[in-house]
Amino acid sequence: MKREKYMFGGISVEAEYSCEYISDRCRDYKTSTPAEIFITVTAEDINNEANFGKTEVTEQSKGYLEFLSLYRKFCNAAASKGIVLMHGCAVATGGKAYIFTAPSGTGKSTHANLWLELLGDKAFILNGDKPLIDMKPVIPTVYGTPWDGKEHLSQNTNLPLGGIVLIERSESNSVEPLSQGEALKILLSQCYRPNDPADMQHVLNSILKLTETVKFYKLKCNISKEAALLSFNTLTKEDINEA
Amino acid sequence: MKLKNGVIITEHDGGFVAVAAGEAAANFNGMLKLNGTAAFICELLKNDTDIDKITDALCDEFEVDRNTAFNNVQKTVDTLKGIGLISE
Repeated sequence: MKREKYMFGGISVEAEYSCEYISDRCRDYKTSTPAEIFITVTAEDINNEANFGKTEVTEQSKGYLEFLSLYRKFCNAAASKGIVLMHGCAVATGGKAYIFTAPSGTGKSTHANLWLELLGDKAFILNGDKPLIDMKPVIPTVYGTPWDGKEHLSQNTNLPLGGIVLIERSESNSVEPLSQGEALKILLSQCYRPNDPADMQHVLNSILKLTETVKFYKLKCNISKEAALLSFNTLTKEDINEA
Repeated sequence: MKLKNGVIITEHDGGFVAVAAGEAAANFNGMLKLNGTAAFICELLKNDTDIDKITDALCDEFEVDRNTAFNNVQKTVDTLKGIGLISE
């Protein structure tokens, strides 16, 4: 077994695991801070992860499944510390992070990339797939993580959350604010939900707080610079020039 | 009958919502909005009970005639059963 300390979502975790895959993917997140959480990923955990994903454990898949299981166990353990995993693409600009969320395949990353084209080196992807949100600070804080999607886009840093946008594909572009009830519905479908009711209660408390403290929008958009300008101006309230 | 293990009732935006974890989440991944009466009924359903007992409790707690209370309980229980949150 390998044993290493990593910092995820501002929480130090000592992980015990068997595959090199985790060591590779989590390299940037190593820490010497004493661990608050201790996790051992067992062979049974890897089998369970395969069952969740309706796949099988093979020599090729084992490392990845162990990597997923580590995140699952971390999120379960960190729920009581105000940490929530949200499925979405977190883009950083102007000292804040904005999360684009949507069912897989809708175009989160596409829209995030439009922001990068618009803003150039003033923006970067904080995390492309599964950022963590820490609810402990007054303003919820978004963290990059090694669980960062197909393109492996992530930075080991954190920024205050500026807003959350549900993306829907449409021919024309429009944006509308969402009510707390609509925001809760999105969060329940896009945040990791622990199986244990006590852990789930912590996650629920966190996401209820999110609906009260963060601005939520629904963006209906096509793939254009106008779409990026609309969401950027709405979220940041800063008009930028066409050029 | 009672609520399945893992049903969480919480206050939200001036009302209540029910969400599921664990056993209860097998069939239900969304959220159910509840008014105050429905939340009261859910609270009683955390322990094994039946429609008559819940109706009695509702009549004790609120000024409501038994028939109205019974129909209300029946409707709430049917909704909960419909999304698989109740075990017999």
